[in-house]
Amino acid sequence: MRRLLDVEGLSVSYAGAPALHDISLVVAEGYVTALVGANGAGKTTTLRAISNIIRKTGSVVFDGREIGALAPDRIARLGVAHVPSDRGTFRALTVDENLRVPTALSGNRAAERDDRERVLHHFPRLAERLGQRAGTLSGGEQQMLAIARALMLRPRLLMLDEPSFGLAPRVVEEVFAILRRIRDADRMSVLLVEQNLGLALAIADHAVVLDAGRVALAGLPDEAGRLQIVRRVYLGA
Amino acid sequence: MSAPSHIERPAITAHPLLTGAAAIAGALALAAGSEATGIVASYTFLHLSLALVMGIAVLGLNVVTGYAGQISLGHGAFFAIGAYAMAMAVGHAAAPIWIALPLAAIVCFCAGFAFARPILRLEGPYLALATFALAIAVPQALKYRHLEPLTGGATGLHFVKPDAPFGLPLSPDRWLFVLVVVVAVVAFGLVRNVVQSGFGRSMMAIRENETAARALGIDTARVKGLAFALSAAVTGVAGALHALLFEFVSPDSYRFDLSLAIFVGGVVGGIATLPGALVGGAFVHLVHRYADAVARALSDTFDLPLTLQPAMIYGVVLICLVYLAPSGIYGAAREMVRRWWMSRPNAGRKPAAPNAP
Repeated sequence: MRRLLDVEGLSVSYAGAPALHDISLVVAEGYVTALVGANGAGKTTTLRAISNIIRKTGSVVFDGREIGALAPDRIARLGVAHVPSDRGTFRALTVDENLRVPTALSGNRAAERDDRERVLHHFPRLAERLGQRAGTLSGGEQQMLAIARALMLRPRLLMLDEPSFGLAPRVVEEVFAILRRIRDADRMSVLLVEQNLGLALAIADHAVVLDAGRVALAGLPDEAGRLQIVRRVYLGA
Repeated sequence: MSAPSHIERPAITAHPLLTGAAAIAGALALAAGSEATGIVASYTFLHLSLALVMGIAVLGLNVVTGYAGQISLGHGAFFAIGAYAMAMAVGHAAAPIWIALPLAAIVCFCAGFAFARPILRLEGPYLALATFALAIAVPQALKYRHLEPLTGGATGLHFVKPDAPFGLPLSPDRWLFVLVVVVAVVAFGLVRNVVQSGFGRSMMAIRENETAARALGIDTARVKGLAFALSAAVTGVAGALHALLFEFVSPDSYRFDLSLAIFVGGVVGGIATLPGALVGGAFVHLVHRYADAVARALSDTFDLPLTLQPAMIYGVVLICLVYLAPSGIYGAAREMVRRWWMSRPNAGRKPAAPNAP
């Protein structure tokens, strides 16, 4: 097992109030790590700290390189794609233009076309809507667009923040089916933040439970581990 | 490139190169024809030129405000810098126009870039305030005592505009009009290409959601800085042409009102549309020229118990426009054309269907 992302001693405070205490976690290359926990446990904060959107202390090593001090766009170009829970849709741009933002400054049109084709293969619903304004997409389609757009970065690590947020159960199923296909097809390494424990544990190879800004538990989501995780998240015990 | 069939726009597109060539040919024909027959008076060309110059200035602002989403209330400063660059190049160094114009563009590009790096970290009202400060500061700086040999201080700088090139038998106003049209065509063509390029896409991504753009690997500081610099360069070229039309620059020609007028032109014409910049520029120039006359005419005709100020006319027109055409005059016109297009008896394709959530 190769450590793709190695986070150690990560701490974050919001206006003096501590939000994360000394978090450590590892994402193994080619595996899905789920970050679960109750509301306000610090899951989103952890992703934001890794992307360096917020101030933090501690070390973040990606692919053997310390990235803690790099600018967010630099981290993205190194191959860490962060899909935020608000999806960050460029509403006035078309679906196609949204997809081509990560490659906007690269200047390699041919590579862009190939990447788009490869990505759209997973998202037939987006392929039908390339010319449509992204703001007119449904919530599920906007989530798909956010994931597809992140894949256009050719990421080595995909960080997903609550992909099920605000979606109808059937749409959630569809999004997770696509995620499973992407994982299987590309052996993509994923750090998944998810409120829905059942969904998260079903897709994850490894789970980390956060509780009030600390790592409460880390383990395999097998039969025994599962029970422990569920108890920890829901009962805090 | 894919050409999706269900895009919700009518197909009124002309080839841009053809449009530009037609505009230049038309301007040349109009100038030459009226020179021979006197149908259109020489000073009318001056006003056409001034309207077009404002259109170029608004186009410049549109790059950074319309497409990159960064408000600037200080573009009058770059207009002034461009004007002074022209006046000094022609007045002091006797530079030909084909050198002085690009020089003005380069000077403003550099000034814009230098100014943008520190201030574009600011957002919303703070950014507006910082650019506002620039608009106030530049005219003051131009009056600076120790720069007087260069800038002419508070009294400004006179210079003589060159005659028509190639021995063209055109009056100064007429040939300058042709020059303004040529520069406008180049400026609009340049901005159009930039906006449709990958760089343009990254500007619009920043406008829509800056955090998301960064998360997708866009170096937002660099893109915003270059957008601001390009924007300053285009507005600066407008300033250079303005100086050329009057053969004179002075600090008081470029006060804060000018920055506001450019901003108003952008909003009125239609932000983030290219033809809207022309409409906005014409609007600003017409108001500037006729508000006074309209105010006087209205006061006289209706025997009003108060004296109408030109600013009131300006205000009323602005308020009406904001209510009637919130997306600008060009935006409203485009929307009307779109509606008409969709409501044709056999409007071919079904409109983009609203999607189930």
